[in-house]
Amino acid sequence: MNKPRIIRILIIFVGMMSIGLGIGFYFAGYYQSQTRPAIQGLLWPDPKQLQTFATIDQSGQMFGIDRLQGRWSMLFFGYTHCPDICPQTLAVFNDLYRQLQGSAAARDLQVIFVTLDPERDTTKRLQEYVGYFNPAFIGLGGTIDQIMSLAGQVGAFYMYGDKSATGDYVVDHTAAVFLIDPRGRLVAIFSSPHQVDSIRERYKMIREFVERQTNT
Amino acid sequence: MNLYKNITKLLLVLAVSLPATLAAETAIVIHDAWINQAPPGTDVTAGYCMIHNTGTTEVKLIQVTSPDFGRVEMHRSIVSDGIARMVAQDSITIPGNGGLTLKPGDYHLMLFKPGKLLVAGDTVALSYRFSDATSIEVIATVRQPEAGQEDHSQHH
Repeated sequence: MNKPRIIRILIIFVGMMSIGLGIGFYFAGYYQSQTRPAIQGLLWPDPKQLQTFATIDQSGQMFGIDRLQGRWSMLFFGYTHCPDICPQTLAVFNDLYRQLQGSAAARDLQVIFVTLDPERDTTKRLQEYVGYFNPAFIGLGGTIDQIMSLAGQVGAFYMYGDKSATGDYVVDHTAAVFLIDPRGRLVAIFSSPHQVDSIRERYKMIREFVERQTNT
Repeated sequence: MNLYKNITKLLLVLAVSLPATLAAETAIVIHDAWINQAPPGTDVTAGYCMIHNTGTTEVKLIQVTSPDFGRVEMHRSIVSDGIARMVAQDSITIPGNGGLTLKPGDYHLMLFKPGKLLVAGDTVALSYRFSDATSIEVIATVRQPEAGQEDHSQHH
């Protein structure tokens, strides 16, 4: 006579347990998705939304915020008369780009070299320089004000050295690489030294994380 | 007779080894000399090598010259507080009992105004002059910049 009652209680009990577990899992998942993963250089939960800027690309076309939207961008700064660190960094990115080829993480990735030395780095020169490393890479220049309309927003720094008798000078510049998401937000800063494996793995993890945040 | 023979032997050994010992104090050997293939339109590039000093005392690299370039300078790339800078060096100290590697992101030669367009596989002549009056002629090979060259230990 008590059997149906016990079964009813059991059903209610199991039902409540399930609801409890469901709520628990839901919040656990929610909490997890909001927690900043431990990735060096990730700027989360406060990525910086970039505002409009106006630079000139290596083809002489205007390059503004719209050219960052809908793509992942890796941005770094330098100058073409830089014999040591800049070719090294470009070689690292060339390797990275090749390693990512064919993967989802490469489809909409653009690698962007921004000169901080517009006096010597004309559009034609940028085209030659960037194209030498990888024809898919983008080179940005313009007037120093145009360049700073972008560089200033990510906090990139430059300082010109004294000119030598032959007119040569060095340019001290920010060594970091800046990762910008398809919404034009600065989501990570990778400090030097730049290692292909480390940047590749962090880029993949950050991309996956940011995409998950954006979808939920 | 035997004693005389032994003394002669000892003197001979000393005579042979003494100059060798003196020379060993500043034994400099340079190898793996290479330079970056400069991107098109660029008239400056960087040179690297390994400098071994098997002697016990440090030696300074004081000048590098080349018939293949207008000018050669010694520099060191330094990244501090996130800023990459190149610092010209009057000399580069090569410690004894070891040596020093000129490598990307660290000590390097800055080579200005090549006499001709240099591409991977070409060779150039470099002359290294040291503080102990040693002068070493080296042939360096032109290479494409590589990603794997950067040393982990340079990160401070």
